Amino acid sequence: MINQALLRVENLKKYFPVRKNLIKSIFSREVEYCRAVDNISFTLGEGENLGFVGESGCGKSTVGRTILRLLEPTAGKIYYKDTDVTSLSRRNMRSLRREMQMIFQDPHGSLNPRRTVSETLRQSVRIHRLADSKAEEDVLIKNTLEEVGLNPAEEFWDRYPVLLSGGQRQRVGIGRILILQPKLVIADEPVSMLDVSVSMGILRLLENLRDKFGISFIYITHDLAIARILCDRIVIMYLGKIMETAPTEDLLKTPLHPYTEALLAAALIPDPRVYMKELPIIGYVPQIPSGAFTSCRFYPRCPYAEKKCREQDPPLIEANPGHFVSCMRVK
Amino acid sequence: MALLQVENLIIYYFTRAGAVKAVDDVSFSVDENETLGLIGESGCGKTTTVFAIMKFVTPPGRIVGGKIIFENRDILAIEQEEVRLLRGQGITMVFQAAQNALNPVMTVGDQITEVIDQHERVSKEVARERARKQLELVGLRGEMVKCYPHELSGGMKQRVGIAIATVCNPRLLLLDEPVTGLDVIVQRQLLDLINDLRTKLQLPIILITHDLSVIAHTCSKIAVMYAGKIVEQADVVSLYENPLHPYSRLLIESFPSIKGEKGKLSGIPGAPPGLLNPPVGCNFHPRCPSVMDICRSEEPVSMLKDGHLVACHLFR
Repeated sequence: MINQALLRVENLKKYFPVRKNLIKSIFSREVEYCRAVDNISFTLGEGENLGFVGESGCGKSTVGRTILRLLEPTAGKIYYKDTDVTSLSRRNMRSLRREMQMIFQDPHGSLNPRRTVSETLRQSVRIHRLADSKAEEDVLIKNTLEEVGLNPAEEFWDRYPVLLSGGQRQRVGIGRILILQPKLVIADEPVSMLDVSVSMGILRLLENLRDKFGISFIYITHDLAIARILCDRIVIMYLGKIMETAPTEDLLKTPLHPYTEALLAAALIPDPRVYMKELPIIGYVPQIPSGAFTSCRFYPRCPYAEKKCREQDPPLIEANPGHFVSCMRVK
Repeated sequence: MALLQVENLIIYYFTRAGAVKAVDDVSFSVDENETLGLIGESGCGKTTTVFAIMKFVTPPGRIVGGKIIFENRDILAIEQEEVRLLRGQGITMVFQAAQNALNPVMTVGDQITEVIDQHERVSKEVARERARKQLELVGLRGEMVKCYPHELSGGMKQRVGIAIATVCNPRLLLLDEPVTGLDVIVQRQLLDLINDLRTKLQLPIILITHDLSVIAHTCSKIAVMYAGKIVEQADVVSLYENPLHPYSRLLIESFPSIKGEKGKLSGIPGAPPGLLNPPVGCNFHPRCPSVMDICRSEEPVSMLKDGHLVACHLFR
């Protein structure tokens, strides 16, 4: 199924300038940076589903937004098929965006409250000039609504988002991008604000769309159980860097990085008979320091930390075929 | 007699369109040393139920019927001044998104001492010292009394919420979605804290969540709520191993896990009914895979089966 790279990201960096002190910032030119995404490379094959997993603030959403150039990267290259996305003009980017779309986390905040469901979808159709007449638009919108499970389409046609449940809103959000027939969809925590039974319905919908239309997905989530259902491969991020990446079941069965191990131990099993192991991690996620890392960034929280971990930022190496990890303990 | 006994509680919200039956004939009890998990989808009435226990139901909501008996007294009948004493010392609650329930312009320490001031006659110094102790109890540093909420992370704020709720030694603690919206590792650390407090303080807890795994690791008893009614009650392991009500079964099946076989995505088709005009008969019948004719006409009553209290026509 996976034959060629649909998306190739090389040494992507996104630094946000931080203004610490007003007076200092006036008198000195020095700007401090928050390294939200710090030198990340990966590829996404056609038809592949990649999951980005990590805690809040690890940079997973920033990666997604930078790929679509909703944020401008600080450095690095992003190739979609053979086009270098980072050097495209705004106009060219717009035509490419039809193929690269995003599902946002908050279904309540990402729909315009003053547009009905059909108007929201119609806007996508018009921006990308997908239909020649209003009648054609209507057919397209109706088919899409039915495709995302808003049946019958007439019932939802003139509804405003306030009259929809969270799950239905997220379906409109999915319809809005599906109507463009994208090749790559970045889904940023698409179900984290929904109830479990509703979110399972949404995930099933995404799975069906993937199989039916051959869309490649990047899922951004903090929930390994959800990533497991959807993704062929998982990338674990911590403080802006890839700590480990491997095929999903591989990663779950034999995690090599202590941080992955901690995430797995923390994941709650919905079974009261399972005993919870002690958490192999210390403390909280620290703030990303402004300077470059000279030690392993997980070292302060790592139960296996040694002296050598303090001396070098470990590179991402291939430990087993397809299984990459960035840890001094893995040779 | 149980510590808390809720009997046939009925709460309606009176709107212009009619009465919304948010809580419809709900009964359950909590004993000393018991942790009850109340699980259900959004809008099933779990928060409203617990609000009634705190006497927080305000218009357009109204308690239409039933009794809430706490330590042998019907708290629905007590006077306003007693309510103030009840909250804080008798029953306390940590609200959903306690992260945002803190006062942003008061230090954490002041927010804890404020509660002590309300309930006990102690000097400022003693209260401050207790605030420090309290923060240490929930796994924070004592110096954090001087912090403002914005200086703390989400998990820390949730801990402060628990510190405030437990400072006057309540006899019952209510937790509304204590870990929703937090990161996995922080979630786990908080659940460990809740378990720790329960054993340390011998504190009975009612925990509301839509996440079965949270209940699995903290509660001894579980009540499954659907559309304003409790459809099944049992001890946690028994309900997990042998769910009787079709809704409980579907709910358990739809939970993804990182352990075991990679399951199929199941979910529950359809959506919960509007409570303005709930369906005739069983509330779950439009979504139920084992629906029978009787479910469409007659409301099932709770009955005992295999140690579970279950309301379903399958077990008549």
